[in-house]
Amino acid sequence: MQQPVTASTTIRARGRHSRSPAIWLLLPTLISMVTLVLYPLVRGFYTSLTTSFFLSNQAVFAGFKNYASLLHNPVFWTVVWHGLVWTVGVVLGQLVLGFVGALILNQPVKGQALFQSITFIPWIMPGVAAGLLWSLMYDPTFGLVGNIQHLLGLSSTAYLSNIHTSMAAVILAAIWKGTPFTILMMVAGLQTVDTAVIEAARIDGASWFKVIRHAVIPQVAPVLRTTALFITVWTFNYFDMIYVMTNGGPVNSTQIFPTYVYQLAFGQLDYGLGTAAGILSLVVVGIIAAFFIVELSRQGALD
Amino acid sequence: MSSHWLKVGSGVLAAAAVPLALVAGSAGTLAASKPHNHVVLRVWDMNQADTPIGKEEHKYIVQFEKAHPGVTVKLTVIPYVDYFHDLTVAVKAGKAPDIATVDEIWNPAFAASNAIIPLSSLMKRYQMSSSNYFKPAWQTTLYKGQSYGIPWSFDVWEQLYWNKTLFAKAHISGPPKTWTQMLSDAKKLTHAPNQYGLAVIGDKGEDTVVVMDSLIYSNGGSIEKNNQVTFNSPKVKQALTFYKNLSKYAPPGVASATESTSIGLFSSGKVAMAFDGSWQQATLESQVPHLNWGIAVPPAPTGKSFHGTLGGWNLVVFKQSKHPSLDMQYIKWMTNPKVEVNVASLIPANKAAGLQFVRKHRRQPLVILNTLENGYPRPISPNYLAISTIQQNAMSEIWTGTPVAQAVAQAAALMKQQ
Repeated sequence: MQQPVTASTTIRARGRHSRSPAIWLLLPTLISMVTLVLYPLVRGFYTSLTTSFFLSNQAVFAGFKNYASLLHNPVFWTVVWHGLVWTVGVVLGQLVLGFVGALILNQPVKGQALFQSITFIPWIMPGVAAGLLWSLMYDPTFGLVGNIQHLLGLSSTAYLSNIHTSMAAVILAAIWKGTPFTILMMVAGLQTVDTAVIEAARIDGASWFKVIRHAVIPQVAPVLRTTALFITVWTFNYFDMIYVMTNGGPVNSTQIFPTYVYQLAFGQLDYGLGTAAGILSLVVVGIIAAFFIVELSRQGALD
Repeated sequence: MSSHWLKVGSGVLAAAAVPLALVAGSAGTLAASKPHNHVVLRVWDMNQADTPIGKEEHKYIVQFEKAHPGVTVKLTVIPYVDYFHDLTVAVKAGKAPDIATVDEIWNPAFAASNAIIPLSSLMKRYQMSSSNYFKPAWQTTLYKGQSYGIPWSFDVWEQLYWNKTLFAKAHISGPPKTWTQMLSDAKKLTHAPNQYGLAVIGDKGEDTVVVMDSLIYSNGGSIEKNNQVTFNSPKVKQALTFYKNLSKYAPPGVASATESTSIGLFSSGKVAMAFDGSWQQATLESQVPHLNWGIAVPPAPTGKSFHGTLGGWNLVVFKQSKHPSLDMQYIKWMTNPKVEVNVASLIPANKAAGLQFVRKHRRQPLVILNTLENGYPRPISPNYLAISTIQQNAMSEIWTGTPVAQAVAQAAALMKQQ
């Protein structure tokens, strides 16, 4: 029996026809997402539930044994704490210095583009090279830092060998490496600032600090937040510099999630435990990222 | 000089031509084989030095291919820092090469995981004998009584480099022979912050473990024996106490000092002594040609003899290979003295090639031969990497003030859990 053609069936049919090209267009992205993101995640999670070693050919399902083992290990909690100190230290340093740097580099001076390009060098430098460079700078015998201390009449300090100074030393190096990115973002942000607002504030007698705080920062806040999100995630997952400079030592004083995961998976060949630590780090960084995304969304920065 | 190798060494150094000619005659040439139906032999090697290792290997690969029509050797050279990671991932993914060089400390793990095959029967078929290799290097290929690799190149991590000028200035006639002398000489040679007695490696890395092991072995101790952890012993504690005492006469920053820091300090004249392998000789000769240095067998406790820690590379055949016989022919070709002397990244593990190499490329070859012969491998265990990490952490603890006895006891307890 022939079905009567109604307005609603026509719309549904048209909808189906108009959706099908969209689905076909989305398919490559969906396939990529599933194969490159979802599958490794699920596979990784499964591995974390097994006792999987390089030495054993068979991964044996062990439930949450690896997670329990990590959560009962004091080193793991040291790693969590260090991960937070490292991330907060580096992100705050990069944001503050990056913003100040952007204010300076945004001044209309001759050779502005050249200065901006030079400033960008640390960011494009490979992490391994930057790590080696800073290791040399911190060398108590030959390093620049030690020489400056000598000139000031101080005895040189082995910053990377001391458990009380090693974290600060690697944070400083990472701030140097990453700040240019913040500068780049903030320079772009500053160029969108409405100068009329700044002029008005100045005419009203606002100090330089007040102009920055009440006229500039609110206008660049969305860029600042997006930059903060990026560098937080990057820093939390950053591996190269610490691996080269301290390998997580001395005595785990610079051990953060990526170096810890690497040590478990490729130092001890314990893939199950290493993957479990990786999944837990993903949870931590996921929470941080979710906080940022909600905040950005609330501010309308994602619109 | 009473050892077999020194006797053999001095004799063979003079008459190296005889065994070399014999071996070259038998194994140093390639007999043409029957054509194969296009076989690709996938070989992995690592590059540790400045010189591109693959370039030299390619010359001999071409000769091998000519002698084996239909065979193509695909050599992949991977930087040392990535090599272990890439190799283990390839094995787990079922994409291992046919042949690879592996660090001797990885050999037992690859054997235990069934990733590589025992080579004893293939050795027999291709008339290769373990007696052609330096014994300590050969030991590193063994797992559960079977050989899982052919030693390719090796060295001992510790010879004592000493600065003759600084010793003369301090009126010290020669390098120390005992631990007591070493501490006393180091003290005399220390004029901080401009000059120190010696460089001490102490970072969280394998370069620290080999120094630890060498001091432990020289004091008669061990890490494990017959699968039993023997780390928590008075001999180990004495050795590590000595290690810590040495650091009093080293520049600050021992806990992060690497092998390259150590040799950098030595080459700049900042320190009078340093432990390192003979591979550093070429670096010193090229970078600081005016530095007046020598090498010596490092000191040992009074009444004992020095034992260094071995390092080196073995050639292995992976289980996934479809043509193990051909792989073995390739290994035989690459480890014959004529070829090995040109392609090995350290001292060739083949005796004839090794002796020729040391004589041609190294200062004070007898010192090197002595340390090679008396060298001990690190624990030959599938869990070696975990053991090494525990040792690194123990030494880190010691540098930062944990009493030696406590750090050793903790480390031993952790080793027992492995």
